[in-house]
Amino acid sequence: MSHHTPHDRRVSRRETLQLGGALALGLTGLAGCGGGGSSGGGSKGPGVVRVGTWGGDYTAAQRKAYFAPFEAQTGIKVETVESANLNAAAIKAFEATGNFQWDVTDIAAGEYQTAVDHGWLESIDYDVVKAGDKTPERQFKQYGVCAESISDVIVYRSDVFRSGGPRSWADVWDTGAFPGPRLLWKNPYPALEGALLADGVAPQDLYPLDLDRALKRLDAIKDDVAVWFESGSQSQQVIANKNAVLGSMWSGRAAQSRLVDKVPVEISWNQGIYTPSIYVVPKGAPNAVNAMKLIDFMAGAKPLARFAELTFYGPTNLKSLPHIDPATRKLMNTDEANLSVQFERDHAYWARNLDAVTERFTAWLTS
Amino acid sequence: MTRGRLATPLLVAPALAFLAVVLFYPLARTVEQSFTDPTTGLENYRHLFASGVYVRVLLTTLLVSGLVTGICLLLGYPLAYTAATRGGGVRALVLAAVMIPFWTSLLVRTYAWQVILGREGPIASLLDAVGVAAPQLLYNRIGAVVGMVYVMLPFMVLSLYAVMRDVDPSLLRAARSLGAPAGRAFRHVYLPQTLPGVTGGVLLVFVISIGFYVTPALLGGRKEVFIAELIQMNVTETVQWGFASALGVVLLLVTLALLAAYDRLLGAESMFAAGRREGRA
Repeated sequence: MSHHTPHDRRVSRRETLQLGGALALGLTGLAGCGGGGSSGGGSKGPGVVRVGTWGGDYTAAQRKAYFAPFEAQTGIKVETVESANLNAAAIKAFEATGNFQWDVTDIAAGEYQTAVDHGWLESIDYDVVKAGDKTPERQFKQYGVCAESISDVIVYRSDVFRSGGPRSWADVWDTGAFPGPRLLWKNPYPALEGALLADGVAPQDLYPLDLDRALKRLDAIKDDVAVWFESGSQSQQVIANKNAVLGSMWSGRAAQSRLVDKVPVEISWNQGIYTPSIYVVPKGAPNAVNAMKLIDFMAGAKPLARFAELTFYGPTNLKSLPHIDPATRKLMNTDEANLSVQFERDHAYWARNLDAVTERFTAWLTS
Repeated sequence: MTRGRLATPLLVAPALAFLAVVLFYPLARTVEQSFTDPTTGLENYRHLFASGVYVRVLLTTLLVSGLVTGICLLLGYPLAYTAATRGGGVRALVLAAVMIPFWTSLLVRTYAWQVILGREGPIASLLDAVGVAAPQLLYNRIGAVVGMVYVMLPFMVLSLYAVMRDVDPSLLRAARSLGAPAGRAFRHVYLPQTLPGVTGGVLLVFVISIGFYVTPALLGGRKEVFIAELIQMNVTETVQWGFASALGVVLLLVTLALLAAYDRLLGAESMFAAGRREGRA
């Protein structure tokens, strides 16, 4: 990266640079394991755009659904940079070091809120980004564009609960009606949200979370949660080998369990908690213009539909749904029937309270 | 030793320069950040000790790591002894059994344990067939310890093997021929000579164990949260680098204190004595 001093960097920024240096060094070191360093000059030819990506199947699906057709259509070369740290912290490190590992990536909605709160993102250029569902709250945000999405949903083994499984978080808590080991994500969400919903709080009254009430409700099923899963693939394994027979999973993983692993897992969409992931451009990214063009392409109906078929992440552009094969579409969290009984997580709440809530939750978990 | 004295500074200079850039400088920055981000002062440390959860997680980390180290030593010593004292075929077999998992990806091994220890896995099925109710082996402390021991065992065996290989077997035979029973010959002749390997193996296994994250997180239960997991959470999720730095500094200090205590009790310099002997060859 040759020109790494964005325009109006002030002295105070310099200090951040020095302080952040040590950790940033570690972060960017981890991140910098893919993609060549050559970023081609900006003025000649269509140039490049560097995309931060999670690696593995995810990157392969992005390549098929987005990058390859985008390159064919525009001539702009898409370089992928694999990283396990696609989040606000990585963008903070770019800001601190002036070393931009990538120009665009998709981050979780909570991370987006953190980055927005700190002013680390470029505004989306809506003269360039024109594709997609213009419903603003659905897909278009000031500093990002939603592409795929995921929901925390209630799941159960249909071979265990033959006459119907849990249909609400209250049912997940009801060990009498639905006995068996449970799985939950080892994370404050959706555990705390689920606990309050189980306690009778309505989705619109959920935030700010009543932590005391939530943890008290969690106490009630502490011994019935056999697995606090750490990763999506672990949750698939747990439900496949019956170490848990009900609980909550990420919708894409549950769909994959069902369609790929052929596990008899059923999803109850009621009270599912919806979270989009959002494509963003770090402030000062060298290829920001090409990044906007790529975002415009990815937000479109057909590329998103293709990506959804490959990964089971629901498209935030609802015009994508008719392009998805019916068996997969039924298990998409954004299919109309499924989406209508869910609600969206309050990402602003989480971004602003994550540290304190995580600490309370971890204290509860380990005690 | 005397001849090397002049050459020594030149010989170690490149390594020191390397360490200065990749270790000492970032470490100094980390320490600094723990006192300055987000505010200057002791706030990060005050919060760390006031909240209780971090001390608890640190204790869990040290306790489980100690347990893993002890089990590795109990399992590794006979293995290394067998490899060091038996002929080619047995030695090759033992070393291969230890090394092959070492070359396999950590995640693959961890997932393999989820299958083996799972509710419908081979161990549960076997116990089931015999009519014994299988205990919960996964997603609790047993799972975490089993998975970690499996990962760390090669480090222990190789540390011990390197030292045992150099122990002269005729000394043991001499002790026996002078009338020492097998147990006594082992305790007084063999064991003391292998202590450098024990020290090296214990330190290596313990220090690596306290930095674990993935294995206890995937195989352990809700209580098997390691301090590294909380550090990572503060770096990448809640973006509190000053607090993450403070956690790292406390972990480093506790580790150094434990190593110093170990040195006081058993003498870590015995490990370096082994290094000197190897240097002679």
